[in-house]
Amino acid sequence: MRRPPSSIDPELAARDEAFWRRQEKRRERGMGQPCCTQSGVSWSLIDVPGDFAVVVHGEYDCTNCFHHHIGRSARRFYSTRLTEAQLTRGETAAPLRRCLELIAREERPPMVVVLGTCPVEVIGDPFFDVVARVSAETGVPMVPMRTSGLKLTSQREMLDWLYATLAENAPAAATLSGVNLFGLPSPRLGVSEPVRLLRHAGVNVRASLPQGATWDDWMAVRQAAVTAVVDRSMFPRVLSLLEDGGQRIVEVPQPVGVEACRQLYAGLDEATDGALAGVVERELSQAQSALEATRIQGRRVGIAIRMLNAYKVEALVHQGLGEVPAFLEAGLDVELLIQGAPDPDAEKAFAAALDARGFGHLPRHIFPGPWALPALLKQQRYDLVSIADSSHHAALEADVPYLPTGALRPYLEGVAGNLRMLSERLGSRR
Amino acid sequence: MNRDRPGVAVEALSLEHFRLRGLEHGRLTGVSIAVHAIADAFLLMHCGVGCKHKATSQLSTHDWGRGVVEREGWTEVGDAELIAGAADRIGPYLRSWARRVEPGLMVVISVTFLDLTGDDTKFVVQEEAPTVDPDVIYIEAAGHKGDLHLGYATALLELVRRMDWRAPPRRPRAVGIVGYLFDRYEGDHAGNLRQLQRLLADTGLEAGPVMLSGVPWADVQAIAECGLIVQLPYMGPRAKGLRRALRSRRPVIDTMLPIGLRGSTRWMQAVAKGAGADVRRATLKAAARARSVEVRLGPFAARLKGLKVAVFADLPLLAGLLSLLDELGVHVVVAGIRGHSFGGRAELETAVTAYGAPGLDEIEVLEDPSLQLGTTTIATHIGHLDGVLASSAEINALATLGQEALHRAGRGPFVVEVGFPCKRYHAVSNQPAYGFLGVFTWAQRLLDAPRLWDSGLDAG
Repeated sequence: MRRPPSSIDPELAARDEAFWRRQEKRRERGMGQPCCTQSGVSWSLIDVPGDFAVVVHGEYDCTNCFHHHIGRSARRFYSTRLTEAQLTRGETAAPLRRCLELIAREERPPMVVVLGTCPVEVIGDPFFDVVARVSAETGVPMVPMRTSGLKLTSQREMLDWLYATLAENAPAAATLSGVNLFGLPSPRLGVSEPVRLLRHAGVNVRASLPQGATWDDWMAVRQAAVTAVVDRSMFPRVLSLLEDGGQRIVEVPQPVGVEACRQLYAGLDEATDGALAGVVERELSQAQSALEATRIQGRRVGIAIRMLNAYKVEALVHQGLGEVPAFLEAGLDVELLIQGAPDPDAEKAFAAALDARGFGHLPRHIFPGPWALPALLKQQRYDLVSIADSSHHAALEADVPYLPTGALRPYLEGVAGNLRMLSERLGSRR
Repeated sequence: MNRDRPGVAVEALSLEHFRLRGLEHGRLTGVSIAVHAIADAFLLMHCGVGCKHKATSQLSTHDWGRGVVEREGWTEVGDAELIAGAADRIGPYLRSWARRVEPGLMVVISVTFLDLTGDDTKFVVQEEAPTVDPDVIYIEAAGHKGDLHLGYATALLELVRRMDWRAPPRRPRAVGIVGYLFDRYEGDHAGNLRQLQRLLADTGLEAGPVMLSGVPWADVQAIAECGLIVQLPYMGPRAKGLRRALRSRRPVIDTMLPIGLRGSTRWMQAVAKGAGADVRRATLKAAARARSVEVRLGPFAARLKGLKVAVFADLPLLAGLLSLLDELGVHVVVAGIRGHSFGGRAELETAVTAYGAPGLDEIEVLEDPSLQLGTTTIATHIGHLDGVLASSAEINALATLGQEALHRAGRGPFVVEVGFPCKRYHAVSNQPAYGFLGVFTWAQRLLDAPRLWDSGLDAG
């Protein structure tokens, strides 16, 4: 018998809604979106310049889970292109072996990272054995990772796993010296402000990771004496590995806004035995002046979190809240827009996570997905919103000026420009 | 022939077989594009968390005209659901989204790892469809075979099958177009759709709906009211299915893309002939349009003549571009066929010949090339190559070779983004690629094309 449409069957609709909320609750504990670890690792490695190779062991469309038109190493990626017949018959070893042998023979990369996928996970493919055998036969280091989209892993956990894997396979040094910067923004070309200042102060910067890092940078990660890291809680595995190797870990804030930069450079100064204070003094003073000259009062900004699935460290550290202090410092009244199930349990989890970060006092609104954002923005009538760029149409629909998440430039060199941009955006409706 | 033949033994496969290709998008991306091209449609993906990227990531880069993420959802399958059985999740999600978004059409897809469990997703979707108001269609989109174009064509065919073709056409003189690849709400498509209308008007025919063109599902279905159907090449992978679905109830006129002067002229002639319209009138009208374009283009043509380029595009677009570039006096040195749904070199030769353009003897043709092969091939020609027409995937890969490898007299090659995805090329105003006016767009884009690097010190 044909069932009535749900729009006129409230009982069915209510049952479904309860089901939906139960599902959402599975992943409401963290403040970030869950991810496919194959997608995330690929997305991260494809932008690392170097001669390494990455093999995605699965059907060819599994390589479509990440961008190919942005990264700097798309030419280093391979797929075993498993067919339906190979998957159903379990004949997956031969194409993997062939692929790895050819890469080893024709490319001789310093390392091959082999990634699992959902289809090979489902059939229980023991691909680690093939990888180990071909690596031993060819002498090319090969690192298998049992990645897939089957486990609802957080993006933070995925990145920590990847970075720990790379660090494990980097050569250890007999003596440690210099500084690593970990999680601090870095341009795709050139060097970041702290690298420039540290070098000016005569400090050896070993590697700036992961943003802007090359394969060689990763291979140097175990050689530094000190690693300065943004949001220590995000990288337990890799930091534990570095500490076990004798490195000292110094936690610094995400360097957006004057106060955060002041703390960053104070931390780096302390880590480098006072090398930096004199070098940074003038630029700190200029940034402070720019802040004091800005007068923003009584303006509300809505900052959306839990929207990004782009594996960007700067958007994931501090649970995506890293820009909030800069908005507050500029004088804005900040409210948080949290993508998630409007469910009491989830609400409690969000509240606890925000309290832990010191933002529990900020007003917050939970919305179930991008489709619900225009109505929320219209209702709240913010002066400005900071949302994922993929949802900027919501801001256009609600006629609210918007900034894409991560639009604030880092470091002292970004302070004046950020304040100018905020003033301009707040000065007029779109 | 750079590709391994189908059926080659695993032990004989080359490294090129395994490399990441220029068009590495499977059927799911094609289905996603089709759903995006229907203004009120919704895509429900029965899949894992990573598969979502196949639908949204590159499409949101490509389309700045309309949001992508608001009209799609996924059933959040993880390992626990896999063990317990995942197909029963489809119903609740279908109903929740139907209520929230109130779509006119819902499309459901599944992915390989769920198909491997033995779930009959298609059956479940059919069972659950009556519980929601909108039409619900299941489209197969597993990622182990077929590319974006097969997915798009399959979606079109499933949509056609949903329409009622039994009644006599209410608009017997109207021409509906099937197989238009509408991948974003930007001015390039607005311009193309306007050009298609104009070409039909010049042929003496009435323009009907275009599948697909960014209109709501109810308006898409109005194509069944048309007395004639023009089939563009993007329907090609499912062309037989289309004819079976229509069962001779509508004449289907098979055409190439109306690109360039020759392409637009031949398109009009083919449609006029198939529709029983006045072919001579269409030919005269086309000649007048072509002459008008040639006159306006005259002073600029010498700037393009003699340029040497590499072109990477899907086969229908590539054939049209080879013809157009020949008309402009631009020499194509390398031609890369993106994807594999439309065939390889032989099919390209046939398509180019249909335009009346010279054959491929002077061109190095790459079939479904990897990013590595495309890049290194271009690099070998860099000393005498002026520009590259390709998607942002090939252009990005080329840029990774670095300035030193690619410069010529202080400048890198000029780059014109074509195909999917475009990262930098976005069309605010009408910028047709099709029709007689489309020639101006291509000429303008070639003249204005940015270079990968430019010292600014060249003599001009």
